[in-house]
Amino acid sequence: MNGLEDIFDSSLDLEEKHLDHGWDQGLRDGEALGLKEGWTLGLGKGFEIGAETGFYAGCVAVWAHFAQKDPSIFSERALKGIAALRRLISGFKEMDTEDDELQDQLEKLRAKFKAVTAMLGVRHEYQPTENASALQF
Amino acid sequence: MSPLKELHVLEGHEDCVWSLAWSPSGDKIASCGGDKTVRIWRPLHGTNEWHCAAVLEDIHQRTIRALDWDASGTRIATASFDGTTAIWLARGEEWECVSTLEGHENEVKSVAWNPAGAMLATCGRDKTVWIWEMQPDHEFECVSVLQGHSQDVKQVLWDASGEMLFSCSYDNSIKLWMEDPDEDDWVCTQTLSDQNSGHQSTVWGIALDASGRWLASCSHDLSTIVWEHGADSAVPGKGWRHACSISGAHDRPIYSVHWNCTGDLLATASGDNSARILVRDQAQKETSFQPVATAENAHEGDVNCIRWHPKVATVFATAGDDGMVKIWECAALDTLTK
Repeated sequence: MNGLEDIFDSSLDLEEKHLDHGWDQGLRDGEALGLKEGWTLGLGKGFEIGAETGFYAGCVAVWAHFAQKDPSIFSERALKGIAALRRLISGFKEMDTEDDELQDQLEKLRAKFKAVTAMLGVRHEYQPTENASALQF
Repeated sequence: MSPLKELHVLEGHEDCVWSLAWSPSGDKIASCGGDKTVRIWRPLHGTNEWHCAAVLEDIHQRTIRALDWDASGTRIATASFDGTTAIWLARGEEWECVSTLEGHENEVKSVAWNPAGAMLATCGRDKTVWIWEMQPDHEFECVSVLQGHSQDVKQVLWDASGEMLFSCSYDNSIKLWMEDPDEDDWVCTQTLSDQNSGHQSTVWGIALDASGRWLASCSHDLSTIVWEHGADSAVPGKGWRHACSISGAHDRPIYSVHWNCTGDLLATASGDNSARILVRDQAQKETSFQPVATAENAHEGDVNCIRWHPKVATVFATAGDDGMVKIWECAALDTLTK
């Protein structure tokens, strides 16, 4: 009698077993895909922000170089602005990527860059080229 | 007996008039608009007839959205949709463009001279407020770019000391900016938003009364709010709080608000084509305002700007989508509140 029941028992919850199995598999696959997508997004975003702040750092390096050779070429205010920009850039590099303040700091950096370029009378704008987002590995 | 009387109609603009400003002494009006010009209006010598004394043109490529007269009355700054701010200098009856300020990424919506006339604030659709300092020869140096608003900034306004700068925006908030000596830069010290009973939609205009204690703001949400600066506020730039909200006066967005020179009358201009005068209700212990006069159909279209005469407490001017600038006279306060 028991043997007969066992055989049928396993087929009674067959549907449920398949559902569970499917669920587990789906969860695993979903997690793996999500992780991969998140990683790709993080990499892309990180690259974009890095490229932008790198651009500003590059401009500051050039200006600082000339300011060192001849401080009189820039106004007092522009020199202060360049120094402030430098501080903001190094402060930004130290930031924890989970920090909510990250976006605010980036906006602050952009505003300072705009102000300094206006003071210097140049029209540098950070314009990422199309290739910047087409990451190839 | 109507409490409001239309005194003069200034015709000449070929498109809507966006903004107007009285000269510091009140002897002239400058207006600007969609026809890319500024027109200077004044009475013909020895008469009471107003005419167009000068047209400032051929500089801006697009609509001139706002302008401001400096305290000396010799300079006008214009803010344009072409992204630039132009500085005009009076040479007798003529005006000459002596400088152009570039920096904003797109449309500049407002411009304001500080009381000393040495600095300029501009704001625009790029969500930033810029502060400029005038150098010799009408060159301007950018002092700071203020980031904080999350949308188009509609108007900038200085307080009488030149230490506080106000801005209002499509992001429904009003921000106060002051110079922070530690940061060596201007920072936002207070934000007035729906968190402190502020507006629920775009704040189109702001105005400070002569005492500097009351700030009025008008909005797309059909209301006008009056804010009070607490006398007990220990920290400057942080003591503003909601005093009262005025609803029901207009049924379309309110585009402009202004206090008269004595601070007892508040004028509002709206997309319902009307201009309204409000007076403080002295009988109430809490701050409250009552409408006392209305110019229905003040213009055939939106009334974009309303400004009281700098010295006469009962005269004001309006500018509208109909291309007209009009000068009005209001009955005296005691008559209005009878």
